[in-house]
Amino acid sequence: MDYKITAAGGILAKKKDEKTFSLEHFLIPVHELLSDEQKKEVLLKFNITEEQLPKIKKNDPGLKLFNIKAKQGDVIRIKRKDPTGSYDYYRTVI
Amino acid sequence: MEFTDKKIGRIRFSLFSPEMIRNMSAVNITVPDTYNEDGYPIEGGLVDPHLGVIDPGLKCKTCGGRMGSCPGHFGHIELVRPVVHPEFAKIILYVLRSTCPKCHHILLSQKDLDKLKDQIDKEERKQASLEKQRPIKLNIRKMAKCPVCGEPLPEISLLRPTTFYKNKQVILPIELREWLEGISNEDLKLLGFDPIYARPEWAVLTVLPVPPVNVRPSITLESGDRSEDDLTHKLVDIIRINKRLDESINAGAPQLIIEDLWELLQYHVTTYFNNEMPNIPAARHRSGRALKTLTQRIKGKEGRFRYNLTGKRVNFSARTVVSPDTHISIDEVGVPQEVANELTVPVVVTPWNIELCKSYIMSDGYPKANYVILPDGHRLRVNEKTRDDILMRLVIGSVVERTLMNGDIVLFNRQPSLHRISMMCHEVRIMPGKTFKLNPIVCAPYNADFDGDEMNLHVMQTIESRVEAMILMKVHNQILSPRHGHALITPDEDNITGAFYQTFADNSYDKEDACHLMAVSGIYDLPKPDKKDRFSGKILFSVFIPKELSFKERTKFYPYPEGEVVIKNGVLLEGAVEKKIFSSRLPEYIFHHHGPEATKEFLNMSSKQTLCSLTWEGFSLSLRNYEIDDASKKKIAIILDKMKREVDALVIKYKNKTLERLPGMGMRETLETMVMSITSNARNKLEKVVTEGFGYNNPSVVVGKIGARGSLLNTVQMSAAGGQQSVRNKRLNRGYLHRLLPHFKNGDLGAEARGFIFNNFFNGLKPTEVFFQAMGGRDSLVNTAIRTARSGYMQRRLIHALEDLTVKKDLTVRDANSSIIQTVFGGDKQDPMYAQAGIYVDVATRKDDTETV
Repeated sequence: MDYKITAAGGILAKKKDEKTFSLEHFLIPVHELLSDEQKKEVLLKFNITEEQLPKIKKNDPGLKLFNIKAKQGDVIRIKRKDPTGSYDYYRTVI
Repeated sequence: MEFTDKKIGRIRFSLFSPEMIRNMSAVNITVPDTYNEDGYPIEGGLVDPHLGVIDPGLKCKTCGGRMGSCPGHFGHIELVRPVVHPEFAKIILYVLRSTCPKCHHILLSQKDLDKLKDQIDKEERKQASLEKQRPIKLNIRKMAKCPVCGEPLPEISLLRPTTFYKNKQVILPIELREWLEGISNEDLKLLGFDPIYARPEWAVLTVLPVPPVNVRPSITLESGDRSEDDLTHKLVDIIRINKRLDESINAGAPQLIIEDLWELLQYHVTTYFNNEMPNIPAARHRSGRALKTLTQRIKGKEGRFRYNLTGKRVNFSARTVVSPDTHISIDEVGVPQEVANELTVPVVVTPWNIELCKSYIMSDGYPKANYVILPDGHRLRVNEKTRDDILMRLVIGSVVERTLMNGDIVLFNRQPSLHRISMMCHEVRIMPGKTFKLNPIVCAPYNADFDGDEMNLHVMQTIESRVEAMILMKVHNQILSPRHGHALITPDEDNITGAFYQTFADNSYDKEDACHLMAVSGIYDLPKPDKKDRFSGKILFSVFIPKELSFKERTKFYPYPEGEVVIKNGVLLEGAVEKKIFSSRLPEYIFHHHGPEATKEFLNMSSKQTLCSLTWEGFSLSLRNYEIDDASKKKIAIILDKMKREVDALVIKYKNKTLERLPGMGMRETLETMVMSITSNARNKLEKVVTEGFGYNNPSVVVGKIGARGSLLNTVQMSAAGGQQSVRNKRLNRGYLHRLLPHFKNGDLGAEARGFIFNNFFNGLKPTEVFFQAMGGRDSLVNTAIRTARSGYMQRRLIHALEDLTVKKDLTVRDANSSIIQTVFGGDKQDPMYAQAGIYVDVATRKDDTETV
C-alpha cells in the first residue's frame, strides 16, 4: 500500500487507499471527539481552560483518518500506547 | 527587601511623538561640546547639568538629587530637517505602498473596504473572547491607479537603509512626512496601526531624544583627560551637522549643498541608532574602531541581554584548579584556607549561640567573623579596631557572617554544565594547598580531570537553600544516572584494577596486612581468617558486600577464558571482581536496597581498600609487555595472510564483474562492505591471539579485559597489527587519482593499498602506514570537534525550549502558563533513575528522597 510516515510518527494513507487502510496499526493512536460533557469533565480534571491543552489543526490527517468532523474549540482524545504504558492525550481543535 | 506581587498584564511598544519627546525633555541641547576649559559642563551641551549628574558632589539641576538619587533626565535635539528612523524604514515602505501619494487614502475600493471592515468586526468579536489582539496586515495588490481619486500610482522602492524612491526619483524626508501625515486614522487602523500610540510620520524624526548622562558616562583617565562615551561622540556629530545645516539654510546656500548636509545628518542619525546597517560604512573612532551605538548595546553575545542579564555574576563564590584526593569522602570538597577566609555564611544570633558568635568576632585567627549586620540593617566590617564596639552592639537577631568551616554545605560545579550532575552539593573540608580537592570517583559526572581543570564553588546564604540542596543535590543522591538508571558515580580505573588483583586467584594477606587493609577503609572488625591463619583478598573485599546478597555472574577474564563470580550471603567465594561487578552490580544493588548513604559508604570504603592493595601489589607497564612470543607471531602472520588473500580474491571477482551483489547495493558497495567485514573479522581473531599469547599476567590485557582502562584494540594495535584505517567510516580512498599514494598501482583495491596497516606499533610501521594512521587520526579528531560544537548548540536550544516545564502533583507536565505538555509524565509516569532490570518505579510512588536524609 502506498503510504508515508509523517514527521509526527503517524502513518498517512493516500486518499485513494483510505478505505483499505487498517486503523489497527500500532503506530496510529485512536482519535476520539469528545462530547461537550466529556470535554467539561476533562477540563475540570486538569483544572484548565481549553487553550491550555495542546493544539490540533482542524484539517489534521489524524482526524480525517477517523472521520472526525471537528470545529474550533472541540477537544480530541488520543489514546496512546507505549511499550511501558498507555494513556490518554487531549488536544484542542484550532 | 521589598516585594511586589503585581503582575505585568501586557506591554505596549509604541512610537514617541515629537511632542512627547519635547515634553519629557529637560533641556534643548544646542552646543556640540561637553566641558569648557575649566572642566565645567557647558549649559546646553551634551553633559548639561539638567541631564543628571555623574560627578560626585554635584547637584542635578532638574531634580536636585545627587549622584545616587538622581535617575537622570532626557534632553532633546531639534532637527532642522526631518530624517528617517532607520529601523522603521520597512514599515514606512509598507505604508507608502498601501496609500495614494495624492489623496493619501488607503488603496482600496469602497466595496473592498466594506468587506474588510466586516471581516475586522467579526475578528474583533472573536478576539474579545480570546483576549488576544492580532493586527490585520493587508496585502495590497499592484494597482495602476488609485481607486479613490484616480491618480496613477508610482512605483515606490527603498534603497537600504533610508532612501525612498518614487518612480526612481528620491522622496525627501519632508515630502515623506507630509505624505504620512495625510493618512487618516481610520485608514491607519486598517494597516495595523493604533494611531493614538503610533502614527507612521513619527518614524520620520523631527526631534531626537538625548539620553541622560548616566547612560553614557565619560571616563576620566589617569592623565586627567576625559574620554567620552561612544554615544556622546555620535550625538556631538549629529548636533554639529544639524547646526551647519541650519546656518546654510539661513544663509540661503544652494539647494545642492543643503541636500548634501541633510544626507550627512541622515547618516549620523542612522549610525547613532545602528552602526551595523548594511550598505553604509560604520562610523569609526579615530583609532579605526567601530563605534558601539544603541543597537550594538543590546544585541548579541556581548549585548545587554546575554552578557549582563542572563550572565550576571554572583557573590559568595570561588574558583580554582582542582586536584585529586582519594582520602576524602565523595561528598566532600577540599577548600584552601585562603578561600575559606573570604567566603562567609550568615548566622543569625540567638540566645543559644550568642557566645559562639562573640567568639567569632573576637577571634584573631580562624574561624572568624568578617561582617556583622545589625537588626537595623547596618553592615559593620569586623577588625581589631571595631570589634569591641561591635561586641557591645551585638544583640539577638543580628546576623554574623562567619568564615567557611568544615561541614558547611556548598555547591560545586564544573563547566560546561551539561546535565544536573554537573552541579552537586558537597561538604566543606578545609585543607592545605591552594586547590580544590575532590575524590576522583566523582570526576565522571563533572567530566573533570586534573590537567589544569578549574571548578567553581558557591556558598548558599539561606538555611532553606542549604536544606534544598542537601536533599536534591547531595552527591550520594546522584549516584544513579537519571538517564538510564545505572550507577554513574562508581569505582573506576585503579579501583577496579586493585579489586581485581586483591580478589584474584588465592591471593592472601597475613594478619598485619589484613588489619591495615581494613583500617584504611575505616573498618575495625577483622573477618575470620579463611586460609588457615591468613586472610584471602576475597574475604577482605566481602566486608563491603551486603550480608543478604547472593548471585552468580559471568565475567570476562578470570578464570580464563570465561569465568564466574559467585557471591553467597555477602561473601565473595569464587572469581575475581571486574568492572561489571564493582561499578554496576554492587553499587546499584546497595543503592536500591540500602539507600544512597550506604552506597556512599560503600564507595568510600571499598575504593580506599582496593587502592591500598593495588599500591602494595604494584602495577606497571613496560615495553616488554608488548613483545609477543614467536608462536603468536606466526598465528598473527597466518591470520593476516589469509585475510589479505580473501580480500584479493574479492577484488579479482569485482574486476571480473562476477561478484554477487548484496541486496540493495551496487557492485562497488558490495565489495567495500565485504572487505570491511573481512578486516573486522581479522581484528577479532587477532584480539583472541593476543589475549591468549599474553595471558592474564600481562597488565595491558588485564586492564583491557576487566574494563579498568583502555581496550584490547589498543593492545592489538601495539603488538599485532594496526588494522584498517578509515575516514568517514569508509576505507581510505582519497589522495591521488585512483590511488592513495604514489606507492601503489592505479586502481589497486587491495587491503594494503586502501589503508590496512599490517605492522604493529612495536615493530614500527611502514612510511605509507604512518600516513594512513595520520589520515584516520585526523578524521576522528575533526569528528569530535564538530560533534561537541554541534551538540552544544543543540543542547542550548533544547534547554531554552524546555526550561519552564515542571511535573505537577497530578503527574501532568506543564509549562509556566500551566498549559499541559504531557497528560502523564513521560507517557508512563516512570522514573528511569529508579528503574532496575525490567522493574519500573512510578514517579509518584517511589520512596521519597527525604526519608533517607
